[in-house]
Amino acid sequence: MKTKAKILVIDDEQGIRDLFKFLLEPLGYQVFAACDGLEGIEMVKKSEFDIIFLDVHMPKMQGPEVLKIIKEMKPTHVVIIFSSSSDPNHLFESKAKELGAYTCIYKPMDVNEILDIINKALENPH
Amino acid sequence: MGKDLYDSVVSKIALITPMFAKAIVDMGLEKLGANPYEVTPSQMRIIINEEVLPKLKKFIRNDETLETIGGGKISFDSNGKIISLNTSAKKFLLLKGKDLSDDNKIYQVLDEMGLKEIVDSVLNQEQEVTVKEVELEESKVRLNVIAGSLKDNQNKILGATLFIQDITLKSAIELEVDQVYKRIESQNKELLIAKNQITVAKEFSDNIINSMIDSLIIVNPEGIIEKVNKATLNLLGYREDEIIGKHIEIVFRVTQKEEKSDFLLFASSLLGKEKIKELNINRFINNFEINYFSKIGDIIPMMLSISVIKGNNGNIVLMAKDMSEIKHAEQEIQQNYDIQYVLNTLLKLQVENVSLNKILEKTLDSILDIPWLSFESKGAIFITEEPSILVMKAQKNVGEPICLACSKINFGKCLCGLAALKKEIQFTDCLDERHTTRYENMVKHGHYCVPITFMDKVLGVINIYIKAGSSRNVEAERFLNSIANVLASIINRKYMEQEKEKLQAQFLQIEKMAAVGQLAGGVAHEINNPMGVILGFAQSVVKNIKEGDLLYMPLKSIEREAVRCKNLINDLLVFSRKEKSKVELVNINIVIDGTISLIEAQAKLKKVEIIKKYSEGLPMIMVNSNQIQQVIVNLCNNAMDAMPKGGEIKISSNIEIDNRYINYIIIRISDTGEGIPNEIKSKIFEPYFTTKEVGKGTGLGLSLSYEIIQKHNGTIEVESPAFASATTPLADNKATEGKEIGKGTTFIIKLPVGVDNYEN
Ligand SMILES: Nc1ncnc2c1ncn2[C@@H]1O[C@H](COP(=O)(O)OP(=O)(O)OP(=O)(O)O)[C@@H](O)[C@H]1O
Ligand SMILES: [Mg+2]
Repeated sequence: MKTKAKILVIDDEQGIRDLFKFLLEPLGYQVFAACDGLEGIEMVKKSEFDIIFLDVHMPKMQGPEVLKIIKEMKPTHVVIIFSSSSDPNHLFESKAKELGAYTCIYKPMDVNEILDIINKALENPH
Repeated sequence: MGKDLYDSVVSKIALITPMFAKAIVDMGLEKLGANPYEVTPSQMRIIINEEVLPKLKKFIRNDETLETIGGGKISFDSNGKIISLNTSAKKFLLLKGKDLSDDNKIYQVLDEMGLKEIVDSVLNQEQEVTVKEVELEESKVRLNVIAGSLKDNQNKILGATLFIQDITLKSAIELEVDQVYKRIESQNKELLIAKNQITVAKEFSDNIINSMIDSLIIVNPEGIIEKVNKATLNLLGYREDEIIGKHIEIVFRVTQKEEKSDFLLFASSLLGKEKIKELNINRFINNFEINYFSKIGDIIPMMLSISVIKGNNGNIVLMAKDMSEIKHAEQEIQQNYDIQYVLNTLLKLQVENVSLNKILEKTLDSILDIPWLSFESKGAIFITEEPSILVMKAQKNVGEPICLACSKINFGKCLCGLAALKKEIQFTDCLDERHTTRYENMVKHGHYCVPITFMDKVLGVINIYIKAGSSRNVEAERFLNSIANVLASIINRKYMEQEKEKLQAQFLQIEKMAAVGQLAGGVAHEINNPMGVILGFAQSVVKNIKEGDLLYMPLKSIEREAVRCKNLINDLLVFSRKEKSKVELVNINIVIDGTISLIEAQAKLKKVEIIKKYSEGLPMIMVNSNQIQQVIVNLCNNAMDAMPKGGEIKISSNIEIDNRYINYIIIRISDTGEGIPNEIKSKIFEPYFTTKEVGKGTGLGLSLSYEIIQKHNGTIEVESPAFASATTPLADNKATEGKEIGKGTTFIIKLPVGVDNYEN
């Protein structure tokens, strides 16, 4: 298992970005954050990430578009963050997976779920 | 005519023997066995030859006899000179008041009396015999004078004789007889006419009496029937010889109390003393109603008039009109009125928006109130409930055992069940083999069980008690049928109203849900981010803190409450119209089973046993199984909350076909909890309605379930028998006895099969 894994969080919500840092940094992960799709894409261009958490609902550029671009550039694991209100029955999950997403999580998310996903993803590097 | 003949003969004979003439002729008549009125000329000839003449010869031969019987005799010679003159003759002549001292004087008297000329007439041979009646005016004496000639053998006149008879008496008698005869004759004539008239009148009245439609009975004062007309015989069914001579009591079927058979005594016990007083004073009484009895015992209502006939025999005439027809018509009018009245009452009740049970009770009351139906004041009305059960909804005087035995009756069972199954009236006058319901000390009785049908559907049954042995009555059935028909339409309308109300309520509910959904959708989205942050930080911090730490509990609390918020938001989102859902063809048993495994652990903890009763071979059904699972979880959670001391949850699946041939999967989830009181039953599906303490229940569980089932085009309903409608007599008893443990609550979910009409 990679210990110093690099994780990118793309979310327009300050709280979510802070949460990821607060949760994951003590566990030894390097956490980077972008506050919209464009910024995120720039960061993916410049460096490698083991896992990217991508909010689907953002200003400027919507999640699926960002996912497509990222996936064209790098084979990174991208975890899509949905709001349970926008997809309560997880109907977009399969669509997201078609677009190359590793998996999906739903806000408000359980931290244990985040940790599980990271562990599983790192076990199966891309 | 016999009498004329008789009279003329008698008067002739009387010339010779006035005293005996009649006697002699009468003797002759007697010998022949004839009478003066009917004697024929040939009879008279016999009488004259054989009786009268021989006797007369004696009289004539014996001059003395004539003398003694007071005849006068004057003899003349051929010259008309008086030869002899007897004393009687002298007396007669003296009557003229003249002196008879010498013959000249006698001749003068004879001349004055007109007798000389008749003596001359015979002497001159002008006449053999000359008869003359002489009236002596002064003394009012009537004389009959006969002059006859005396001849020798050569027919030479020797002289003449005058016979003088006093016929005053005879004439007087004759006159009298004549007058009497005439009187009798005229009386006879009158009598004859009267007799004829009577015969005619009798025939006439007999005809009238016999052609009378009304009954006429004539009884003698002892009450013995003397005469009846044809109408009476027809009416009562007797032959004439069966009724004539009988006491009138057979007509009234009242046995007279008095030993002595007296009509008035008998009648006074029958009609009352007042009527008899009236009869005694007026000699008649008019038009009062009374029953006659026919030979075979039929009761015939009559309008009777009685009159006492004048005359010494004092017969009594009973004239009576058969009122059956009128009574029948009256009855029919009364019946129609009663039926109409009851029907109007029912229709009024319906308009007044009275509950169905009240209407049923009123119906029963009005049926049992009608006197001419002669029902026992006992009965019940049943209403059909699914699938095919009659449930007693109203009853009167049926008593505890029947309330228990007949609270619910399957179609086909006992008389009520048969009425419902066959859709026809069941009548019995006894506890026959159809009457399968039995209980201890059951009194013999009969029934009318009348199905209440609407468009060939049995909505219920009216059950009426009748006395054992009562005969089937067409009027009663007609009446009950019309009641049943009106009830059917009332019940049907009530059902439609209920259906409408239900639909309206559902519609309202949908509206409410939609509003909540829209709101929830918008809000939830905004809340997710902050909630995510709160939950995430709380969980992250808790991970780094040991259980003993001062902050551990507060942070754990933040985490827990945030989780609740998260669940709440997810729940809220179900309302969102924008939500898309995943539907798939599933076996509902598998969905239920999957759900039960989710809650089994929790159930064990709460000492709740879950009993599964799946029907095999159910068709696959298009559902969103996640949502159906959510519904089942909600219902099971509620059930467990309702059984804090533990109990049972029974989950069953079934298939049912409704009258539109749509298949439904039925899921029943029952618990043995405290049940749901009526007053909140209508509210439990509303969002945020809860009876649970703050923090324990949100009141969204059922409203979400409702929403989900709605989206599946299904229905969800609740039954809580312990609080079942308090209108049935049984439920009444139970309610006062307190809640019944274990009755609990049942939620029934109906999902249509084979229609992919899940709302998208
Ligand atoms: N099986 C049951 N037995 C008795 N009462 C019930 C049962 N199911 C529901 N109820 C009543 O209906 C109310 C509404 O139920 P509902 O599930 O909507 O909300 P809740 O259970 O109170 O809260 P939530 O389900 O949101 O936690 C309950 O508070 C309770 O009073
Ligand atoms: Mg609940």
